[in-house]
Amino acid sequence: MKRIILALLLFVVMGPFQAMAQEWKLDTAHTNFYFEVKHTYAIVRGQFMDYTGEVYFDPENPAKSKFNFDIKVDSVDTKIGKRDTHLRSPDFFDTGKYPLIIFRSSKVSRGKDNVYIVDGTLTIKDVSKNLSLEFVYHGQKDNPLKPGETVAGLDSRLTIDRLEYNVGDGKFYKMGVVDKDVNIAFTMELLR
Amino acid sequence: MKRKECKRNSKGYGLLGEQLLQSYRRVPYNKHMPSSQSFAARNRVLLGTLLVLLTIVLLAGGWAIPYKFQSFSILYKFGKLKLFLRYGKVIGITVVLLLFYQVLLTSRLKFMEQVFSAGKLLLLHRINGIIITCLIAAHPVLIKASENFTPYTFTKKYYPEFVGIALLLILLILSATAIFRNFLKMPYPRWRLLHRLGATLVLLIVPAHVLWVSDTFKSGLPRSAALTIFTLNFLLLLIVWLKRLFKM
Repeated sequence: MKRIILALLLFVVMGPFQAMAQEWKLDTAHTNFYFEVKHTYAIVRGQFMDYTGEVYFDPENPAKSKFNFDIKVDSVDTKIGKRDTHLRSPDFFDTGKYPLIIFRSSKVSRGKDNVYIVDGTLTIKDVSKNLSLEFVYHGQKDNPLKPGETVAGLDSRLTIDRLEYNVGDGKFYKMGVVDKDVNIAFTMELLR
Repeated sequence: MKRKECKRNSKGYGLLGEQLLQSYRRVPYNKHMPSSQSFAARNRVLLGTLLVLLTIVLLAGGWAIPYKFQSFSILYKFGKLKLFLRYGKVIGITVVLLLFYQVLLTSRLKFMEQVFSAGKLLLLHRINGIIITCLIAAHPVLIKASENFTPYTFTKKYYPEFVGIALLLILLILSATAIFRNFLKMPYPRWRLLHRLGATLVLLIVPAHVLWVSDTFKSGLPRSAALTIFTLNFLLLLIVWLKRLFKM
């Protein structure tokens, strides 16, 4: 009887771990959170250099997958210090008050071919919005640089309206200087 | 000490002997700076006026830079933030020009001593130093106020700003040790060495801050003007150190 209770307890405790897909580590040297926005006529590109992520992904069983990211907004880099300071100021991200951009997935499903749909919540500053990210899965293979390790590749693109997330009050948009639509691109290499 | 002063006075330092004595009482370390007596009073006034006028022209030219040659960052500021940035820059430029004058005032160039006298030069050096201290404290406050006090991250791209912070600290240490030397019980030779080395360090690294911290000084007339000032400053500094080393 004791053995049965113990086995049941173990099943209950270990249940969530069994249910989750395999955990992957983000290869931080080859994972990028890029963005680009139109400035008057030109395109300004930048990226967030510092982030953490939690990725559970099984291409055969996407329902058990999970994608969570915390991006440190202070790490914004457009290669011009003055511009980055301006982006971090209350005119845009106000990093003193809102240090993180957070994405939490709620559901992962398979789309067409090698596309996976990741539904989740994106929080920028004080605004949280539900959205669906389309991740293109490029496959997985033995890491050519490190035998015994597996590497997988995913990427996604989306466009958001920065003003919906209170990134800027629209002053520069009305002046025709900084557009409100921001193109975002994630490229990820996952390791395990 | 008094005996020594009287002896020197009786030997005489020319026209300004009495004035120098006054300075001795206030600042005992100017005993190494005798003034020349070869200039007529009229010439002295004329050259002094010319130097003051040149200073005014230089300062006015410097103050015009943030208005005439606007950096990209100033274009994105409005209202009081624009004012803070502009005044912060004006103050920064003023400090650089006053630093140049600090070297000139302590250069012990004959010409300067003939125009002003050693005592007056030292007095001007002190007053200038106090003005620099006040301005240098206000400069980063105004600049950061224009950025809503958004802190810098520890990344390479902010190195000109960090050089600026280092300069601020060195200048504040130099000022504090000069003002409170007696309170700090610092022996005069040690203080003088610290002051000279610190001042030299400031003058050597100030170009790294000015030439790279703002778009204003990245090209055109402001960059040429800044490079001219820094070159003159460097040459002056070289003369000062050579004079000190070879006791000329």
